[in-house]
Amino acid sequence: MAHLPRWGHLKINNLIIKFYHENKISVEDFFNLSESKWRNEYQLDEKQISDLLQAKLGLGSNAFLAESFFNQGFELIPIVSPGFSKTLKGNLKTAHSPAVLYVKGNKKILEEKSIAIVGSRDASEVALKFTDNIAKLASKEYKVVVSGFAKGVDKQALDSAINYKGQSIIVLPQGIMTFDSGFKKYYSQIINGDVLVLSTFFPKAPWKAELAMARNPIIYGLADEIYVAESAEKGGTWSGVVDGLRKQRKIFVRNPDTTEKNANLLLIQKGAVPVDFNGNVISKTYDTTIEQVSVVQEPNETESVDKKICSAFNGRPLHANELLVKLGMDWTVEKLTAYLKKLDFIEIVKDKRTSLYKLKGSGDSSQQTLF
Amino acid sequence: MFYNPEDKKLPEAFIEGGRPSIKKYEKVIAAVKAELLGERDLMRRINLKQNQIRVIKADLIEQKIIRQLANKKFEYIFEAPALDTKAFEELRAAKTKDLDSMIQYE
Repeated sequence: MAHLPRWGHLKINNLIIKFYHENKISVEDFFNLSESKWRNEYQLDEKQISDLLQAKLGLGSNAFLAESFFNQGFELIPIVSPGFSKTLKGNLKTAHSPAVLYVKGNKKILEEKSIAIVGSRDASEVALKFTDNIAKLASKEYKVVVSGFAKGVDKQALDSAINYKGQSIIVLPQGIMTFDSGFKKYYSQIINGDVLVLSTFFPKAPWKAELAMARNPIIYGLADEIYVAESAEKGGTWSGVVDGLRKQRKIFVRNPDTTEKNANLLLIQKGAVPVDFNGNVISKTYDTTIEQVSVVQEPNETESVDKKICSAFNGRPLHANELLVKLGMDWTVEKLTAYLKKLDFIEIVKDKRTSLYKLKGSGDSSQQTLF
Repeated sequence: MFYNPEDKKLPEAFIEGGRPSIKKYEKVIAAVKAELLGERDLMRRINLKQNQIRVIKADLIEQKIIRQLANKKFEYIFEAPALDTKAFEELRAAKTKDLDSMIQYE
């Protein structure tokens, strides 16, 4: 039932609420109901009934899979179980919570305070050091570090948590029964109860890029606090943070140095909270009101232009024509100038008789006034 | 029944050797706790014969201390119970009692 094709979490969870909580019947009893009961009592349409019948037909072959699954020490936590992560349920709610968690290891880790440290696969040295430091601080405070087992920041977060004798949750971008090499590598941490491996996908599902993307909300959902070490302007980290902000999550982003080329600043402008190397909140020096509103809307063309403009600055004020070259847009200088003047995250700096543009709050204006 | 005390030694040796010693069980547990191992790896690592490994393996699986994975390797179970030696001692005591009864039989 958890993997009914094209049903989505909301539809599955609403059905579970209806039969389990309202009608007080088990999943087994639900599957034994007649088609007419599915149609009349549960208001399921023909397509949905056909999907359920298909799932019922698959029970035989899934029984073999289940036997192998349990024999190998994997466990299943349905959303109705008291062992299901309350943090995940609270953060993702009915609309986004997976109906089942597949796990191996110490399930009690799911009850602990947790933080997620996320970031790019090809993260910079400073981002990896930040990750290591945050994992160290979290481990000292007995907080579980949640990560996604990707290269770069994810792997650093996991290895640092282990190194500092902390606990960790690995959220897989694949089915849990396809993680043999990982189980071998983290064997002692798993059997000692320091690592829990978790997946929400069909147990035999192989790694896929779309599963890696679908796994990101689970990482964010399992964490009480989210730290972003480094994000590019696209990809899993970016979309995960934007999705998190849209769901009104508080997300801490490492405040980047002005020379860094990443999208951390852009995320801060979108409403994420800037933090220093130790994870302490830094007060913002620019107004983000308009950007914060924009994250609850679907991305549009204006937002994409704003993003481009933000990332075009690398700390130095730019002339409108310099900016136009960097943006690679077919606008006129006049059009861009008029547009820039309307943006509240852009500051105009006078240089003799010309105007330069810079991001509000970036350090250059103070340098110019000092000298 | 004609009885020579020397005759007792052989059945006693069978009873004692019927199950590997507790020390051997502990060695297997420690080895599987350290890493995933197959039957042959265990034989080499602890220097035990296949028969003994198989007896120990069956007992440890029954006591839910280890499990055998699909790749035939043995895995220590997180939060596994301590080895219960009571069952082995009870069996040994029962067999010794049987032997004593046979000796006493007239």
